[in-house]
Amino acid sequence: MKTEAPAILFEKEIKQHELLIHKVCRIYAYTNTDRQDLFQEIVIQLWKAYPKFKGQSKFSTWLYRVAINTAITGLRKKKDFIQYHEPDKLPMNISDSHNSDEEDQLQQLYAAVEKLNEIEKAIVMLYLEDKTYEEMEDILGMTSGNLRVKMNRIKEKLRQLTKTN
Amino acid sequence: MELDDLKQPWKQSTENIKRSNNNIMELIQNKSYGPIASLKRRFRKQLIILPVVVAILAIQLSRQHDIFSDVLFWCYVVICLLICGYFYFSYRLVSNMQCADCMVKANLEKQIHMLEKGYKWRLIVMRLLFVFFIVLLEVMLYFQQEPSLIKWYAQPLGIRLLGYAGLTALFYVASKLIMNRKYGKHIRYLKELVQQMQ
Repeated sequence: MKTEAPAILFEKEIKQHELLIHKVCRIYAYTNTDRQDLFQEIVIQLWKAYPKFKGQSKFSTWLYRVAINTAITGLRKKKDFIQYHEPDKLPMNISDSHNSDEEDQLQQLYAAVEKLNEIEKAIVMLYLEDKTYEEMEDILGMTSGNLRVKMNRIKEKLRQLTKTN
Repeated sequence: MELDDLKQPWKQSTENIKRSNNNIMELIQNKSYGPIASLKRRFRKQLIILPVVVAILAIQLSRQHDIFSDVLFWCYVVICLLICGYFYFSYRLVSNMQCADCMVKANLEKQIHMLEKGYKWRLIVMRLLFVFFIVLLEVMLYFQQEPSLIKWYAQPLGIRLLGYAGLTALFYVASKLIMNRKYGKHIRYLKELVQQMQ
């Protein structure tokens, strides 16, 4: 029973925060297979790191750290994975939204985000998630001043990218 | 398109993501396919395979002659022990390399530090082993001549030294190229990520 208790607790926590993992997978992987692979790898890494989680930070903050770390360095790069993916070849069903205007905008966003580097992708995702700069600092380890500067640059970059699209 | 205008559609779209029917308990039983887990598996396998190969070799050799008085055999044993130590060191290094729940930047910096440290040590061990082989080859001339090396030992000392020097130079370059091909690309990728965070 001793070994079952943390596993059950872990399962509960993951079920509660599953959406966050899907969001990371959506930003960093573009095909269903890649997303499934990444999802599985993130859950495995979360499970491995779970005994060290002492609740010093929010569970979601801890989860974002593990998920982003796994997405950018914890998975072997396949030819069709992450940066090797051609933005033009993004699958059309990437958004699950049914509003066509919003879907168009999101498609544009995803296509533009794909052109960002791995760190910029993380910053955009956390920004869209309404995370404060302090929380982003806690996840990424960059100073909030640096994050603000980066964020302004990314916004401008996205503006340019979507203008040319 | 303004990023701030997309916060709402982003939230709505992500709320619509179908929750997977993944069984978390089953998922965590699966093998990790990350690069670190793969490296750990490789080193673990090598740590098991090498002593088995040495044992088989020892049994085979002991049938042909008395291996306990064979200098060459003991040299093989020492080299294999050194290689085992090297695999164990690499395994420990890789085990301590990833800190998945650390801040992203700290995790990247840790990985770069560990990989560079490992890279340096692997190069040193590889080169030392090579030099050891060369010295052994020459020393054996005076103690126990291998029948397959008779022609080589018949060469004048100058030619032999020239040959050793050439081989050493070739190995120096090749070892650097091999290590760079194995680890260099990944180290450069990690450094690029840290650069992106500056």
